[in-house]
Amino acid sequence: MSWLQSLYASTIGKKAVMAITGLIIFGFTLGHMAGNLLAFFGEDTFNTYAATLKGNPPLLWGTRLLLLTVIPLHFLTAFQLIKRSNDARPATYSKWQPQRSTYASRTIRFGGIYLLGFILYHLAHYTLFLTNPEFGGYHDAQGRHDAFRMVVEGFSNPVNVAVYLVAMLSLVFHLSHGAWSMFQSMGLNHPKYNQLRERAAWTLAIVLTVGFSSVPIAVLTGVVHR
Amino acid sequence: MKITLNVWRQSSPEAAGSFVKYDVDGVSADMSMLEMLDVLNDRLESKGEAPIAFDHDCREGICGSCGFMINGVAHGPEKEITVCQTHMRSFKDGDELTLEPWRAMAFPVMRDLMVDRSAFDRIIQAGGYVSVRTGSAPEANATPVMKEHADMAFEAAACIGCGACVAACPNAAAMLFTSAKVSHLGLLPQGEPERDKRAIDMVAQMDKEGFGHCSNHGECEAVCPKGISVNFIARMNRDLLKATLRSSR
Repeated sequence: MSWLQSLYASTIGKKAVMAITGLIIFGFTLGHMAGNLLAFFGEDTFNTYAATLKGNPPLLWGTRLLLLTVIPLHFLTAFQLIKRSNDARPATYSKWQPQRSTYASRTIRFGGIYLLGFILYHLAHYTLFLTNPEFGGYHDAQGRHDAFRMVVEGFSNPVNVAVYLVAMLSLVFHLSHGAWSMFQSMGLNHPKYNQLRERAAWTLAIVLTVGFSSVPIAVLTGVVHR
Repeated sequence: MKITLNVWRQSSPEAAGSFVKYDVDGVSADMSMLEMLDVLNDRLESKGEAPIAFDHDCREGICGSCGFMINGVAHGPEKEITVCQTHMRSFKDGDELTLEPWRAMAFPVMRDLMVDRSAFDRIIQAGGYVSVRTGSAPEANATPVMKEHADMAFEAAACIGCGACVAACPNAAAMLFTSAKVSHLGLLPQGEPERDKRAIDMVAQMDKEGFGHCSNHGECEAVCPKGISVNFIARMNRDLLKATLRSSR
């Protein structure tokens, strides 16, 4: 397996790891967003969805283990690459004018760091119930965990919604560059499809951000309520 | 024209450098950037000061010797040309220009605006040989080459190794340079037998020299005096990943 080690040691191999792990996280967020939108169908639908997920340990733990592998790998590799990039230019320019790079490409690492903090907070909030221990004790009429009540109460707090929306704003920029950049890193480039890559990245990034943001906004404005 | 220059002055690789301000009067719009520096250097020498060191050779934009940052842009404001072909008509009377050497760990500053780019030579050397039949010259049309591939190989071969891609890249990556060198032989049947080995060895040398990684910013393509496309970077990524998966090593 020494070839795998030397591939990971190379800059191109690390970018391939960024692309593959990024794609998996991206796929998960799409599914996550679709699930979140079920909140618009009310308490029963949402809690049925939550109970179905929890009632399927291979799916639940398979997804969790996959994410617990790829998310740390995505961040670890990113930090290694950032360090490498800083080492590659120890003396910076007194003046530097960007010519082609975009706001999204230049801020991808900062958005990523915010998203890492957000993911940890999000897990502490809605999965581990560290910030709100009472969430774990909510049950609906059928005795299932009342995930709907948890979401409505969580997003009734404007501070939570603000933290969430800033994360979604970071996500749109992170993905608008990352989701086409991963094709380039894997060598998937063809003049016929290159424009499609960038358009698809922007479209999916906006769909994700709008989809994710709609639930907390709907709760805060009273569209979704108990 | 009167131009004010802020030039990076550094007497040796070990010395600490700093910016020095020069007012240059009587600049003609028809002078190239380097001719304007020649005039300034004459004046500096007549005053007993050390002239500003900069690399140059052909002054026709085809050798790859010259290059420095003008106001934070590699090779200056004009597209697809080198500093020797950047003329003073690109600037206005009274403009203030900051001239700074390429900055990268792998390109140590030798003096003033001159950097050591031998890391590029070592990447090319790492590419190794190409298997060709020696002896009598083969019939010119014996090896068919697809027109698209011939054109792409030619585009890649246009790389003059000036280092602007590294200078402009926020990660000081040499991906555009290395990908052009990997692709220009990798696209032709003559380079096919060593294609995998070449990609692996050249990328390994590029990493060893301490260049950064590619973040797909596209800054390199924007400043390349030969207009080499970042599509070659994707091609090198593809070549390296395929080569790693299928090579016997």
